Amino acid sequence: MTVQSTQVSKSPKFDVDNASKSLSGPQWLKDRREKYLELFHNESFPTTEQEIWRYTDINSFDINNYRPLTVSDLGEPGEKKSPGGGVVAAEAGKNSALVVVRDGRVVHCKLSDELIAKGVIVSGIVEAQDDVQEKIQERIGKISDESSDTFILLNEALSVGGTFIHVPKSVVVEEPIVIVHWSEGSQVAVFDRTIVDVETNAQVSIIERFESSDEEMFISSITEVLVGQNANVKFLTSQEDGKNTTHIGLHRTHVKRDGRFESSTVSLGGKYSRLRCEVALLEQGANSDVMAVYYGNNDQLLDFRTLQDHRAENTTSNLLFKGAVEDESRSVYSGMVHLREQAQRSQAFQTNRNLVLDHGAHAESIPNLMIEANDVKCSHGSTVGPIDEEQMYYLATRGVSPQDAEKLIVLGFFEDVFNRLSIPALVEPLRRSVNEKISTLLVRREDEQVAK
Amino acid sequence: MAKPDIDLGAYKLGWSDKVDYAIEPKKGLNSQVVQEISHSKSEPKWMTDFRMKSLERFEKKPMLPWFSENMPDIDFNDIYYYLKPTNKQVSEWDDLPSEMKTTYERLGLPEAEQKYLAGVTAQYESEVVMHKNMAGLEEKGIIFCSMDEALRNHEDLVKEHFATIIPPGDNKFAALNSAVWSGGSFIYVPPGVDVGMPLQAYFRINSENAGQFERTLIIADEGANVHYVEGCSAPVYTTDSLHSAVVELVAKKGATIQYTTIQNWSPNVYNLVTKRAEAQEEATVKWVDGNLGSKLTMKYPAVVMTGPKAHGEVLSVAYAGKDQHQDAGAKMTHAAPETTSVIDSKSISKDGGRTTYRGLVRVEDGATNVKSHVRCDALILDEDSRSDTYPYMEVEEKDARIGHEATVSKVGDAQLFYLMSRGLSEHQATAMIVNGFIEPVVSVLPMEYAVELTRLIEVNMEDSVG
Repeated sequence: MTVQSTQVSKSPKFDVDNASKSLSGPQWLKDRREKYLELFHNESFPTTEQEIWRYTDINSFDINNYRPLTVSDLGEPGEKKSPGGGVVAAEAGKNSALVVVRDGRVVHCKLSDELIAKGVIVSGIVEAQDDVQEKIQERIGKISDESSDTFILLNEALSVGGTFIHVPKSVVVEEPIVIVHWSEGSQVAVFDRTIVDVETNAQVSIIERFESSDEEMFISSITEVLVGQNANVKFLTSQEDGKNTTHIGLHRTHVKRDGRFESSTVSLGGKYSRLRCEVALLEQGANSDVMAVYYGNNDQLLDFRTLQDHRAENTTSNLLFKGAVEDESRSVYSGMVHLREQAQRSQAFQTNRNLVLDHGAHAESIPNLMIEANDVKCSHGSTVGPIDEEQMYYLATRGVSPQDAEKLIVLGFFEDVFNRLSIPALVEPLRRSVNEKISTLLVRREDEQVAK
Repeated sequence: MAKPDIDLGAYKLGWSDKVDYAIEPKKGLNSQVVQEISHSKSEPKWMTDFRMKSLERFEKKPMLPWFSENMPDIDFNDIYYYLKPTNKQVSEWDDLPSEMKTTYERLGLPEAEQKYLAGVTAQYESEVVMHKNMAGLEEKGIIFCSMDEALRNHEDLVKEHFATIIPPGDNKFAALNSAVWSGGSFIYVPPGVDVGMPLQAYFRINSENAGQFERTLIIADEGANVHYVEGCSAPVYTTDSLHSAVVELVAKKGATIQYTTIQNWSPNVYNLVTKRAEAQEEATVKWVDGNLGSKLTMKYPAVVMTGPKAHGEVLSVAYAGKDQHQDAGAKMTHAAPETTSVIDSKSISKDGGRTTYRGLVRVEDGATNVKSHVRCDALILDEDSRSDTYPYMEVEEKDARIGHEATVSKVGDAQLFYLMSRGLSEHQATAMIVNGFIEPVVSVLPMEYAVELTRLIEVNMEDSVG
């Protein structure tokens, strides 16, 4: 085993200092980058010795395989490079606002006149007007700072901007707001950022889609969401990165009194895709419902770390993560339910189910509980196993071939989450993506049979 | 129900005796102490070397972060590593010095031995002071003696298996035990022999700042069947004592071992025990673990299933009262096809106590058709107490079926109301619900222990309710 030095700053390739200083934007953002750059330098890169990185390949991750983008790659703020969002945006159906983010830079941002009239803000962070800048400064990092790690600090130090969404008090946004992230380039490092601020009694649905080209690249993303009092936020994240992308993301939400947060994540792409999905219920009556579907093939590693943090009484959280792994792929589900002392009369549920379809595939499942209050209801369950032979047998007696039976069962396994996605708009395209993956499995199965 | 007659909170076994020691007790740990232990036992050279190497390992091994987090105050230099009572090992209770004898009588051991044990061993501080086997045990070829005696009389058998299941490098406390071990039981059951009645050991710490490091090795040869029971207690002191045992079990083809522990250390004992079993083809190993006492217990009985169709089981009950932390769990390693395991853990926390379940189910590559089920339930009885669950699953085989469930709750208001409407007091109703909660584990204990466990939990509950 070789030990690598992770003195990032001295590397010729990943020159974080230069890249950070070359980025443009308002003065406050420049100051912020500088502050986090220093924090980043004081931090060492994680290793698998740390519990939160267990079961990953983080030891072999070398940031020097990538280079950060500079202004010359990104273009100046406001410059439109590839507007429209293409198929990825069109698939999401009707929207009330569309943001296209390329390599972390907002290149297109359009919202309906109706929303403008209601005072809704959807804007690039560096491109925003001065009064909006103030709001952004107030919110930025307030939530993500609580989950700070090396990659968060790096993202802040190299923040290109990103998207800011603000829904004012009592405003109901009917159609979803769609954010499309597209990244491309060989051996580049991309830093995405989304801030969502939903005020008291407001309602909104947000779709965030991540896609990237097949080149080797690194994506770091932060999405922070504040759900105000009695507000209702629905969130759908789809990750369909290219096959050589390493994506390390944080999705963290704070929910205030009686607020409701529903989120669904569909994770299919990437080489190594990691998501920390965290919800803190800050005040009484807050509740969250978090779901995910993941499907790994080839040598993918899909890695999820979840947190349901109950900080007040009478809060409720629900979590359901379902995944399948085939071929040589692996998945990690590690979740924590934390019911703090003050979280009396709260309820928390956590379920993780894994289907292992091939001999070489692995699924790790670690559902943890930390319960510091007594008047609570809390349960978790997790399973790892192959396709039920009885189900296969049943279908075989009905004349269904083993390949078709396997496909039907896997689709059925995911169907109960697809049926409950917080935003139904993307169900069809996502189901299609899963189907495509299963088709490659079936082709492989046929080859295996021929070989026999 | 009668109130406890000794005023030590809920802990009733907390008295201490005045005892003279054969070697003047010295605190702290160094190579001289280890040499002295080995020398005073006239051990063969391989064992002395083994101890010295283990000491090096202990000194080199860092404390794991979660270990130091659990015990910030532990001071390895403030502990007596070897305390040898003056008297020789005897084989009748009456031959013990009167204070010691009274202690064991108060613990109810002589009575139990007469009634339902096939053999009993009593360890006081570092040494076994009394050992007695039922007539007929030796005729069957069963060896049951103290570990030190086994090293003298059955050296080859010991050498063949000693530290093969838990090597000194396994963890810091296994290394510590390997360096300073003394006492413990050795059992060998020949092929096809069923011991019938349980064999029992009782471990008593007496002195302040004492360390007890017994070492137990049980070998059940092909098709043999044995049930071993251990109990533990200690006086209540304001300073901390350390109990760090290593227990190794070998269940050969088709053998069955049940290992039952009712741990009732006083609330100033750190209880850091490494327990692991190898279950060969079609063997069954069952750990039944009751953790009621100690300040901090960190214990994760393990079964490594190395032969096809082997079966491992851990059934545990933990109770954490005031200032107590029960960090217990289980570890199942499936290293062969068609192996199965069950983990059933029940924990109760009260008066600021903290229970933790920490477990791992691992399915190795090549272990096809494995089934494992883990269930942990926690009951939190008041708002100062807490409970954590950290279950790990690592699955390297496609067709393994692994399930885990856990629940955490308080005593249900509806259940309480129902029982109280039938005329029970709140305390009686709570005790009844708690007893029902631990029933699945209690039901596999031998009768006398089941009664004892139920009674202990009732006493603990009684002193703190109302």
